[in-house]
Amino acid sequence: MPITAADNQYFGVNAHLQSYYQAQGGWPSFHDSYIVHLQALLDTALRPFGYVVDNAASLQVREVAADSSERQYVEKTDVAIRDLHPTSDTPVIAPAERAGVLTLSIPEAVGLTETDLLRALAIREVNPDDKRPGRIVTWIEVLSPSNKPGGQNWREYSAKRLSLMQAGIVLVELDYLHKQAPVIAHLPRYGATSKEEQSDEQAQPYYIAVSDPRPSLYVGQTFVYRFGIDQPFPLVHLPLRNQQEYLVDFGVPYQQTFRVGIHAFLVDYETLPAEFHTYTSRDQARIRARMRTIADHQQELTDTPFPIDPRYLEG
Amino acid sequence: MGVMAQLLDAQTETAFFAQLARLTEQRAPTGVRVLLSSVMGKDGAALQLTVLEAVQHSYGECIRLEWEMTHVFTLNETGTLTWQHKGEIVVGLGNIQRELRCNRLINRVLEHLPNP
Repeated sequence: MPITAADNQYFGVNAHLQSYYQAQGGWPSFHDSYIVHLQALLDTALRPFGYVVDNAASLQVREVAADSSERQYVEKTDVAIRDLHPTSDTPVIAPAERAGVLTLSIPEAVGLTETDLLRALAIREVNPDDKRPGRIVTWIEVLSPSNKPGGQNWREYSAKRLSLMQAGIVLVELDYLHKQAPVIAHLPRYGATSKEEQSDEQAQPYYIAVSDPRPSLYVGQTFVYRFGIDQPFPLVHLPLRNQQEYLVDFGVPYQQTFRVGIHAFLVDYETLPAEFHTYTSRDQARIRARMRTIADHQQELTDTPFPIDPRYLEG
Repeated sequence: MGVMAQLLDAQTETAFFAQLARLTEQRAPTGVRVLLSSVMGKDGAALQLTVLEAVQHSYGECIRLEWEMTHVFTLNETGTLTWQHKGEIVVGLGNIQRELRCNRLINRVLEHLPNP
């Protein structure tokens, strides 16, 4: 008899659901819904501070056209945060208005089409004078299998992330897909799936990376928030303009997304997650302990997971 | 009649809370958010209206943007109305209205909100 629940029964990322999507496909469905919930959360929180969160932004690069004709390509992105009050050191640039300047979206410039990438979020400044969205401050990507190492768009995505940071934009990457190697260099590889790959038992399956390229790409830093099976999402410091930051719990929109649509129905806590062997032995034990706890309380499951009985983690 | 006038004019705790709850209908983004929820307290079930204000705090070189809970109004199932703000709790409609008349802070908060 399957055990299901309308709410996520893990503290944090639901290992059963993530395994399902990585084994069976369908991640874009969750990804897109998550982006929408995340956008709503951030836009509500940041709008009074002079930002707007956009999930259909156009990120543009400039090139001088040989024939001096103006061209512009607009691309759909995930989520960006714009600054509503651009300051003198972060002017809004309108390249398309300049003669002899070719404007290309970065994915266009690196040869991507709209369908190659899932949407992202852009946090933009808002101009205090005309209240129009301005410069992109922070860019948020929810990683998909295709834009991780080994994925079909990994090279293009890699170029895109570099372009974002070269443009001085803070890049936030949310990675809830444990099977593939991380996009962050030097991060330990989690649960290798073949003999050729080196696994690190101390590696964590999930992370949120915040790359702040300011004041320059070579001085900037990447902050990696790692978390494991059945651990709550970390509170992430989201850098904005002028030393401003906002603390974000990316778990809130995750739980909201889990509740809507089909996602909760894809999880059966009675059976092991798909491709269970891709988890480390430590995390396999945690998942089994979580499943036993859920089974113990299957008649009284609520929106808050029950604490794991420590005995289930012994031996 | 504005929200503040309606609150000062309310004859019962229920009328006061119902007027206050209208603030949750505001749509325009402002520096104030009002959330309505149901809670279970030691006196049983209650309706709770929470006022959050957008604030900025300095932490070293960082300026953290935060939503600070500044006011909590609670109407419990027995009809008791309470107002918590700045660590103080005011109980009862008459006391709350008296406090509202001379409390500039809540006036400032309410001014932030467009009349629903």
